[in-house]
Amino acid sequence: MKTKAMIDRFEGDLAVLLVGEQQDRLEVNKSMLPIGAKEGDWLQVEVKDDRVFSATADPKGTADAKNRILDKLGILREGKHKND
Amino acid sequence: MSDKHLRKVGTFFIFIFLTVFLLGCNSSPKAHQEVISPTPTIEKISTPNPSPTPTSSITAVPASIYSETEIVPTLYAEVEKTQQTLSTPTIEKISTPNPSPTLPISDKKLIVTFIDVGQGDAILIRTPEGLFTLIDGGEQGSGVVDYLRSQGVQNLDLIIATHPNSDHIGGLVDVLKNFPVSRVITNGEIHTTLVYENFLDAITKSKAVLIVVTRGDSIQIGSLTLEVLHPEHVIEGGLNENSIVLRLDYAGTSFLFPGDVSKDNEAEMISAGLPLKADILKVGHHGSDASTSAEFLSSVHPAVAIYSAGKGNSYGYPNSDTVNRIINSGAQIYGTDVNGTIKVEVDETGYSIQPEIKAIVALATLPTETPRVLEDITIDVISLTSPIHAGSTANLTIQTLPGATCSITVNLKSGASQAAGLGPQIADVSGKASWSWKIGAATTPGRWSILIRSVLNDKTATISIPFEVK
Repeated sequence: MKTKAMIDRFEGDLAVLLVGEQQDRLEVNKSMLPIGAKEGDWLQVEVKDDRVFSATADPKGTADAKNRILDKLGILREGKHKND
Repeated sequence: MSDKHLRKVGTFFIFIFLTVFLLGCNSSPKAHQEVISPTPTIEKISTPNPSPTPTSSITAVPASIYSETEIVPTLYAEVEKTQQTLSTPTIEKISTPNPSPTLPISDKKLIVTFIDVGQGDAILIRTPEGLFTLIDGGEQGSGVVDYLRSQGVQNLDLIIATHPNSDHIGGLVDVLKNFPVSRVITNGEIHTTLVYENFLDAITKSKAVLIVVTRGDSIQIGSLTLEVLHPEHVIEGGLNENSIVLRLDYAGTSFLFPGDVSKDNEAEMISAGLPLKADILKVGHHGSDASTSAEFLSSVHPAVAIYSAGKGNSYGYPNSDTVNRIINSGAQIYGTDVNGTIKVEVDETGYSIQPEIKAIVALATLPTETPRVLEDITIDVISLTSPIHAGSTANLTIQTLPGATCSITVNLKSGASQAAGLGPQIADVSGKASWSWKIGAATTPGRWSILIRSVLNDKTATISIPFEVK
């Protein structure tokens, strides 16, 4: 079964993934990732026993998250969350 | 206007005045005199007052740290720029929370705690008034909430997310859900992980004020000021590289917190002429080799360097080259993987380092071969009083290159000796350096060792010699 995951960061040759709604941390070798993968990219991953078997890019997931998060940050920066 | 939190132009004029005033008299001596401490776990280090001015010891504007007059126009530009940014309605006047009532308010101590959160960063600052600031929070579920509760924290004046990687903001989500927080500071850069989205949601729920800072900003926490040295502005390409870098000064002791910035950022901060010199350095990026260049160490010139890393982490942090660069710079090194939670207490008389676990980072990573010579600098032992009886005075003389900075670590059963007289020496014109120190009467007899290091330009030699106490 495929699950969503995001690339939190790179540490040397390793990529740290945050997997699923729980954002469980999993480390994979960079070579497992789609070519050109960057910090913050969304992926669809197959995970079994805490091991990643495949990872494919999910550009729509990345774009949707970016829009949603920019909106949320905008509200916070303008202080609108204090008015509710 | 947000002058309560971010004092800009006003302080600038005070700064100009103090700079002009202090330039004439500030000798800024770095040498720390180590005083023999009652136990090796706590070192009391007297910090020389950076200036002889008879003003309050709480330096609201650390003017003396700006030693170059020519950087003034740059700073002025920064201040003006930020002033404009900050006059937006983003920042409201908010009331400062009451200090936690369980803590004494008048002890005049600043306490900076490097919390052991495994692989990640979490640094708690308690101001002399009892206000709490948290710089980063480690990963989610890494125990920062429990630690804050154990310290009697009831609310936080300020949370700072240096950058949005999960090993820095994950635990901040837990903190925002469990404590009232007045202000949250970020560099404004987003991340597209759900951990980051949870962080924003938790700020929204907490109704904390979100403040975005850049170089030149000052953040007021009680009577203290955190100076923002980096980023000048957020540049796309790497989250670590945009980490907020902070400087804190209190009672003549200074801290530098460089987040996870890389060597390139360090070089840029050096060339920008920023006030980097600090007594205590939070080692960048958990001791990764991508940070903490020799040039940066030379600019910061810390007496103490503290990194935060998880025991047995997958990334090999701290990198042994980084540890050796730190040791060669002459700084004493501590790490949360080795020392657990590390507290630094600062008052008028100096600072003390209080690691939860007494252990020495240096030895674990140093070469064990004896002698080991790196490049073409050598160390020869001319004389050493060994074996020696506990309670008497030991003498050591070495031969190395003239002008080399020589340092020694006397390793006894109880760990590194903290006796007076063991400080670094510069080898004389004939290349000789000598030390004389007292062997405590209670020293455990045995065959111990002395680590000797000689550094000249980029060349370093390290040897370990036997030392017997009878």
